[in-house]
Amino acid sequence: MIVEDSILEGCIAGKRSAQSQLYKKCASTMLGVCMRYAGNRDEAEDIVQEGFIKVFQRISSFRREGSFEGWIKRIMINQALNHYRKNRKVPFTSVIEEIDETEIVDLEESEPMDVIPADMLLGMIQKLPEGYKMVFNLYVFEEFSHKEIAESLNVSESTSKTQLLKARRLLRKKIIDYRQSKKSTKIHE
Amino acid sequence: MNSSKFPAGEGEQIDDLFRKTLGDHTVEPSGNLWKGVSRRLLWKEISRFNFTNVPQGYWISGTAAIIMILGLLYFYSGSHQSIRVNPATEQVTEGKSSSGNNSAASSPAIAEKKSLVTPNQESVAKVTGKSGLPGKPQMIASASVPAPRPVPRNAEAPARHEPAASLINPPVASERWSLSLLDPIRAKGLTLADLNDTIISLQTPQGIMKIQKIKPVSVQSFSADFGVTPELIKYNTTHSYSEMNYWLNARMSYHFSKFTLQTGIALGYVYDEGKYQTKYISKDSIGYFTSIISFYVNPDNQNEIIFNTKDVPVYDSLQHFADDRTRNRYTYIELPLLFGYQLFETNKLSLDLMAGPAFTFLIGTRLAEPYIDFPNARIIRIDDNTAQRVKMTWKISLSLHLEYRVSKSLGCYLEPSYKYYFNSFTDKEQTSSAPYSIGIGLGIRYHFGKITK
Repeated sequence: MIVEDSILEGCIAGKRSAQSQLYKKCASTMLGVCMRYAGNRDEAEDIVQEGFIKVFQRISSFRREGSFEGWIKRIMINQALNHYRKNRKVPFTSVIEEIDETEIVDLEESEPMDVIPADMLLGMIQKLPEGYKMVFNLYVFEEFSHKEIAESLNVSESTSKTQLLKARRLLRKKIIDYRQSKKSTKIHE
Repeated sequence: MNSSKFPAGEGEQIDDLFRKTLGDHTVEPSGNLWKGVSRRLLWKEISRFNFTNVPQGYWISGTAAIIMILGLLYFYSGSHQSIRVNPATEQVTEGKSSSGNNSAASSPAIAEKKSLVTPNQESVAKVTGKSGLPGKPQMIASASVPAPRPVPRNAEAPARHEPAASLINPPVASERWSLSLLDPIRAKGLTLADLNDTIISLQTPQGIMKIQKIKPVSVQSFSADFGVTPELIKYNTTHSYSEMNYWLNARMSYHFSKFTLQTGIALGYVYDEGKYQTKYISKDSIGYFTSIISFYVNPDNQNEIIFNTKDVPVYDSLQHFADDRTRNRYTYIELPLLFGYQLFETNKLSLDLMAGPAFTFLIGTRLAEPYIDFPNARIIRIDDNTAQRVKMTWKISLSLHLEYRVSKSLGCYLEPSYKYYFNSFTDKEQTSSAPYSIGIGLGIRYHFGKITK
């Protein structure tokens, strides 16, 4: 994603045409990011909308030392975390659900997977419990350490590690379920 | 659509699968998303309205609209003048009398007036230029008419109506007496016998009728009004900006003649910007290094070693300073003392010019906390640079009170206003940076009964 200086200057000056151009360049990428943090598309669009308002309000503080994409992505992720904090109805640790260990199939023993569509994987993340989803996203995509995740989400490091473990297990189960359902479909065909 | 094959045999295989598949995943937004962003931006711009940014065309259009509205109101008020005979005589007529050649419209009034005058009888008629509004100039017509004398049979019958006599000293008369009142008399063919500063003498078939100008009747009344005034306030601190404030008003007005004296109380929510500088540490990427993952000897060239490498980002804790602006809210009580003058009034509409001082007292403060965007930042220190508000300010208010009477005692009003603050809101600002505000008040007014003196 390359954003020309003229667009940035226009946005700093508050020109709506420049804001529109910036939006067109970044919106699909940012919505892709926010979809991972949200439960559905509407929620993700709400986050993106709030995020863009902040981007346009604070664009003059962008120092151009790093990439613009990194800056705007950081604002979106922060907005997603704010959204999560605002709407968190239950204590973080209580969302951990027990997974039956016997259901877990070691992927190393399983056959190579077919192609898994991105939308399918995205749906799997979206359906994770909120706490799992946040930790998994921050750890895997944003490459936060557990210490940073703990500070961001106001939880302990051990909670962050546990959440990640549970998220991975749940996702692994979902992948295997998907693979098995696809296999049975092929047999029927 | 991105997709990936499942990589087997690695401990972090789940992470890799999702990272590779969804790392650069894009989703096309719906058309409504930009509309929502655009609408929110517009709302933000309106709430942070800056008068210097208003296009010239808007100013011209707005000014033209106000002039047109005022012109229409003036025209409307001027076209409904009437002549009314004192209700005490139980003879009430109305008609237009705005120009010199409207005899048809005014003749009924004269006819009624004539019927009041009977031989050996005194009668009193009030003639007003407008529809009986308080404080308007009035005249009393008094007639002292002798009983008709017997007419000799051979005598010529006197002319019932002599041609309209020319007014005595017409230029002087037009200054002392409104022509709109004299015209009906002339049009009816009555003879003007005498005219001075206070009395018109008319020659009628029944005798001399005198019309006396009397002092305007002084009418006093009270009213109470309640309303809300959103206003835009302009601050001239280190940078100029505007904020939207809201006032709830409860006022009492004392009306006498065309004047008004008004006081009351207002509760206001006033907003401004809080200024903070935050020092924080965040873990930022400062570069990368190339890590050798594996190497092997090139099978084609035994002297060559091929390295498999990976770029590893390097993070470090960096110190930052961030300027943060927050939106603070202050609660004020305002005590105004306004003087007003009625510019015009009709049966339904009235327009008053109001001006006077108002004193505001700070009674509550709600300061917003600074907000740091980055979740992994560690705050070291926050410097609060927000200026402290002073406890009392005073200002001059100038407003136009346009009222529409819904009923005899109830009206609703629109009140554009301008306020200039004579002392600064804060202890750090100079007098020259004192703000001004422009608002539009909306509300209802209840009129209590009139007291006539």
